[in-house]
Amino acid sequence: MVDSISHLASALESARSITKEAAAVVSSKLGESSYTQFSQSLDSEQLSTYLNSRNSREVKDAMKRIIATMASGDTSLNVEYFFADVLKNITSNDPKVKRLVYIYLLRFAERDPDLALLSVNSIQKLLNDSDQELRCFAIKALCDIKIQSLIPIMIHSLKKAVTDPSALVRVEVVYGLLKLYRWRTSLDEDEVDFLDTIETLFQDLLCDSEPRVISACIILFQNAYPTKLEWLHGHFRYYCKILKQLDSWSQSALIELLIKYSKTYIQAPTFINPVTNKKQQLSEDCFSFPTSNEIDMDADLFLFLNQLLPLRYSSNPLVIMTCCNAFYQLSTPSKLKDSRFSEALYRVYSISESEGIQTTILQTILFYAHIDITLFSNQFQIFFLLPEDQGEIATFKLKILSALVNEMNVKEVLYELKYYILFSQTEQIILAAVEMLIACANISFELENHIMKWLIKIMESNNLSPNVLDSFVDVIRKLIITNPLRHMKIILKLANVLEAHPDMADNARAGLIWLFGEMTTVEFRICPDILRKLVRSYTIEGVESRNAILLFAAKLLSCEVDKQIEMNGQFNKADSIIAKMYDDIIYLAKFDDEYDVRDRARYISSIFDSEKYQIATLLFQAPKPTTRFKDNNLMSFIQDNEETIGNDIKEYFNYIPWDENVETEEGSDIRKPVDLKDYNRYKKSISSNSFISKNNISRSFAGQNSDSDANISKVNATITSMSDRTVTTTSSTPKYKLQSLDDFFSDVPAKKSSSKPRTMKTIIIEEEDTSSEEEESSSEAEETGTSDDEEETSSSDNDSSDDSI
Amino acid sequence: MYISFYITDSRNGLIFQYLPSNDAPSFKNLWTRIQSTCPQLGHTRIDGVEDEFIYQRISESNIQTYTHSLVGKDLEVFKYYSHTNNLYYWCLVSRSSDITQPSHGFIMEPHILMEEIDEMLLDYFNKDKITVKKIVNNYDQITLIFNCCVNGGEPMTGGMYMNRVKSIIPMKSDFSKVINSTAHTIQNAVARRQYPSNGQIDNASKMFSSMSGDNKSGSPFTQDVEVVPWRSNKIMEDKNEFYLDIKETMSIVMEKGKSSSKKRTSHHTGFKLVNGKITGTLDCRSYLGGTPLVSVNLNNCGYDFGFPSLHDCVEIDQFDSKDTTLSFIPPNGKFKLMKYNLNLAGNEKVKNWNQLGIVSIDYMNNLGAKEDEFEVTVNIGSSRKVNKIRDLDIELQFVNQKKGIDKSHHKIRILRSTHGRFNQMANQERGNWLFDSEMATGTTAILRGCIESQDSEEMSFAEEEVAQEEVNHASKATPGALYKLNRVVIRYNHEGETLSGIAVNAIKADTHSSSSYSGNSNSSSNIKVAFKGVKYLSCVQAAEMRTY
Repeated sequence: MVDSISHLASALESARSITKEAAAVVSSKLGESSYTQFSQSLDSEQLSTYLNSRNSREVKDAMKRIIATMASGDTSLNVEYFFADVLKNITSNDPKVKRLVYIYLLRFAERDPDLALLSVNSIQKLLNDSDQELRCFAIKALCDIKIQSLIPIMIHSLKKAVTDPSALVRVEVVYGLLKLYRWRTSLDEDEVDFLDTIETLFQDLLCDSEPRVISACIILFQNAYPTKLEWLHGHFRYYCKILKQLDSWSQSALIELLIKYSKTYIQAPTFINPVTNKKQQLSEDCFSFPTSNEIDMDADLFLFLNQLLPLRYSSNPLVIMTCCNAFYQLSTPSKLKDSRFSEALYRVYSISESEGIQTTILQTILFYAHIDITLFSNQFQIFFLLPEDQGEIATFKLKILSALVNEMNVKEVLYELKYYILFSQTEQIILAAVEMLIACANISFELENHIMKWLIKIMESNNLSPNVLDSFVDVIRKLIITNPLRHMKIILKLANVLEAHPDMADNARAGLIWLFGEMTTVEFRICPDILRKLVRSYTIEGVESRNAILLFAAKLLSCEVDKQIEMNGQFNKADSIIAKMYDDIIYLAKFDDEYDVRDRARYISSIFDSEKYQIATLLFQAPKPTTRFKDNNLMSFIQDNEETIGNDIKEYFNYIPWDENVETEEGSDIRKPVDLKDYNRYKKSISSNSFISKNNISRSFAGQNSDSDANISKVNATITSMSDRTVTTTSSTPKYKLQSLDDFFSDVPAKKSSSKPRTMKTIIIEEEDTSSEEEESSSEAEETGTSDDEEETSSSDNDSSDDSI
Repeated sequence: MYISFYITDSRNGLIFQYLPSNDAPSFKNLWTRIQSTCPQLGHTRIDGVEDEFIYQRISESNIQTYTHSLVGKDLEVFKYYSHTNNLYYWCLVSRSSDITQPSHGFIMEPHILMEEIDEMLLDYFNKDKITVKKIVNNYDQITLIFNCCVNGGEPMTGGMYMNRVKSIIPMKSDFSKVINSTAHTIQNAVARRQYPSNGQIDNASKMFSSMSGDNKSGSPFTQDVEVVPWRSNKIMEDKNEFYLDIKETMSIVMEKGKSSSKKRTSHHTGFKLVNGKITGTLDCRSYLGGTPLVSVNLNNCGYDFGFPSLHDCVEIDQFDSKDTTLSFIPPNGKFKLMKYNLNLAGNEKVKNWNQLGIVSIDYMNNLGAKEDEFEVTVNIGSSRKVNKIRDLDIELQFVNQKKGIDKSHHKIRILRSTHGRFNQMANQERGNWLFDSEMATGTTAILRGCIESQDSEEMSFAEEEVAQEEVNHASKATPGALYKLNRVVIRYNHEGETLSGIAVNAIKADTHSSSSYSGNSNSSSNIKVAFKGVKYLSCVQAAEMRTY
């Protein structure tokens, strides 16, 4: 009795929980958030039940939970525990569940390879699915499971899929090859026997006519075979033509590859050197010439650079940057200017909101501004700071301005800089602006004088922060040091400043004192008096100033010693007032609070006490480097900006030297195009009932790029100069003269209107659903068809190209 | 190669992580690493730029916003801040240790990739902003999107096209969407009933075509054919609508001539443009069936677009930056058609402030008997297209003519203000004049205030020239009008008109019910496209007026 009651109770209880769950599920349909709450309430036991459920909805819910746990970094649930339960669902009919299982496998397959193998069979089945997306998925999943024993299966599948009619599947094959290639490093050497196979398959894929496949190939090329540039011979022209249609990631990679290719296999362009009036090959030194307008370059190189022009509209910053690099590496600055890529470069900076991109682009602009000032100098105002410019971006903008400053614009730039120095709220900007004054001052002596006067005026009238003051003094120092005699007035003024403002920041005073120390060798007369005043104030100075005074005294004494020795042949300490002042200071310094000062005092006094005056001369009268560097030497520029310009950028602008041993045999064209493979044709020739018009593809792409007209056969035709023998492809654009029978029948209405830019065709598709078996046989047939066709096309194409030579 | 991706909130709390391999570290592990190797990378903007005061302080203390850093021998972390979503994206990248392989791409590539993914999420969910909640609710979708974009540790070529992504990862359809779509269908049906002549026929033919399309989709190779990679060919849209938004953002610096600082002059005179730029975006949403060819003609108002960034779909050889017509076969759904940038500096066309934006401002110092008053006049011009402006905020900055003289000796007192309220910042040198969130156009607002000093007996102190001349007596001189209004920054946004005046002249859409599924219908039947007008959005990020 009791038993039965408890049964009943438990039954009721379970009924209740079922109802609750059902209610939860129903409510879950109402919104995302409530669904998430529901899904989070699942405990691990329920999850396991759900994963094994026959109800696909429940499986999906459970999988979502698993993925959510992985994605949120939630550690309360150990997802690895469900490995077997999750794996089972790879057989699910729902493609999404399959994908989620695959995501799970990505993370955990390596931890339990034996169990993970169980999924392979059902993934393999998908390889023959009728849906191209599922075939893609199957290849992707297969290659992502890192289990060693799977390699033969992978290679087999990739080999088979390489001729798949769907471009997307072939793209996935390329990525599969990349994954296999990457894997080689973690395997033993004897196991890596698949590299040859990868290469062969890859060579095949490089001949593909479909831009999407080529896009993927470029990624593989860049990552796996960046040095095998010779593989590009036969593809150079075709790739140039389809450059615009490639994916933007591949565009930049391809341009990089082609730059290197051109440097190795194409003769360097020549130009007439304006200095020597001789023909000369392009090299890195050429950038110092003002303008070398006429250059003579290889036709293929010209084609390549010309094909870059449509990319000015690219939305990918990297593409714009690599295009600029291409012009820099392969051509002259004047060509870069003509291409107007510099404008596109600025646009990229301007519209981007990502600081990472902005700083990189600004560094690039800074670099190009140093190479050729005219690239940006007509629009220098655009680099004036805007209200939102802060930090690094502002600094780079100011640096660019300093690179662009010249006689024409210096007045405006200086005006702007003064404003920043006076009113900017950000110290970083003030410091950068002060530093920039040097560039302005370098333009003329008058400016130099003006700037120093202005700096001193500001220094005296405004209570500046120590950092700013320091930078002021720094600039004045740098400017004076370059030619002290010219600036005697300023120096005297500074002496007044030093006297009138004992409350000035320590570091700034130290800087000024240092400057007078340097003056000892130039204008000895003024120095003793300054020292005399400083001796008095020594005790109230800051640490840095005390150090500087000590050094100043040493410098002065060293000069005095040299002078006396020159006149009298010996130095008499007792006669010298300077020596007395020096003694005073040494005495004070020896009892300084700071051990650093005491230390220095001992070291200096030991030199003079032991009368090693020559050493003193060497130490204290050594000439200091000057800051005048206004030559356009790139190396010096990069050294100057060592800290600001990142390593990557430096590496990026490494000028690749031209290979001087490029063989140019007349008659043999190494870049003779190879045959393209158009897999679309197979699907037409096989299933005679179904075919798809390619008209649209060629139309839309043709519109994109007038030069290449983008239809493959035409490209081929122009290259082989056999315009009417378009043999490699059978895309049925009305422009072709050769057509397959199917196209012929289908194209009758379209042909008439082929002159119009836009023709829409009506195609009736009559095809029965084919079972998978049939499909397999048909795909086999395809393969045989492939090889036949290939032979045919290649032979005829060889003929044609022979003719052309 | 890319090892893993993370999304965090503005305080570096993990929201999402994508770990596609066994070796990928969880964010927790990565974070420990970052803290030990490069703690500066962890600095956040402290809730965006809104709190400018704090932001300012950060930049003053020279903390830069770092965007990438090495965390291991060949491991590098990149960080990207999404302004729209207020989220951080991180990715861990391994550089190849192989010397033969160049690491060129890594200069910017991760940043670009993260930016694109960020935009993709917006497009995928068709939102203007992705909230943390949205991410949490859609972990599975987002994981799959990342999986789509990155394959084998490299960016997936062609993986960024939304049509592909949507075909791989179908959108969730929950109950609310069903309701919405039903409502929309009913609305359409009602609309059609009103115009039975052309609507119903189209509808009927579409119904038919959709049925026939479904029947035939089973064949293996029909789906392969896409007219263009960014557009699937089987798009059935019963809405047939096309939306275009033009959004412009301006940032500009103007300088007030010296002459107007002394005496009252009329407004808008004596302003000189120092630098300025307008960036604009054309956002499209296209719901057109078949393979439409759309062309958009823009009135560029005499500006030269230069080389804007165009979506892949735009046919470049037909594009001319002077006479701007964009023709394209649009992707389905939301996309960015064009992003442009107009440089105002050195531009002949831009002569004065009036031509840019509808709000003009002027200010004067040294007014009143004691010459210690200032006045700011804001004129919100009237416009036929704009009836109100939003979030008007005017920042006033006072500058001490002699830096460093004790700052506590003065106070800003507002004498009169016609609109809004004045809010002074803690450091006394700045204040904000805040307005209601909406202001009608055709209004003039005036703010008059006084800078009070503690010992304000001697008020004869006049000009900055004096300040610069009398250097030696500075400390003894009268503190008088020590502070003066030196810089005014305006921010606002409005709808209805662009700042540059750029507008859409015409949109033409050729929708041909195309290719495979509409076998029986006429090959080029033109379906009328509902074009719902263009939405113009203008945002003045910062317009600065300053006095030297």
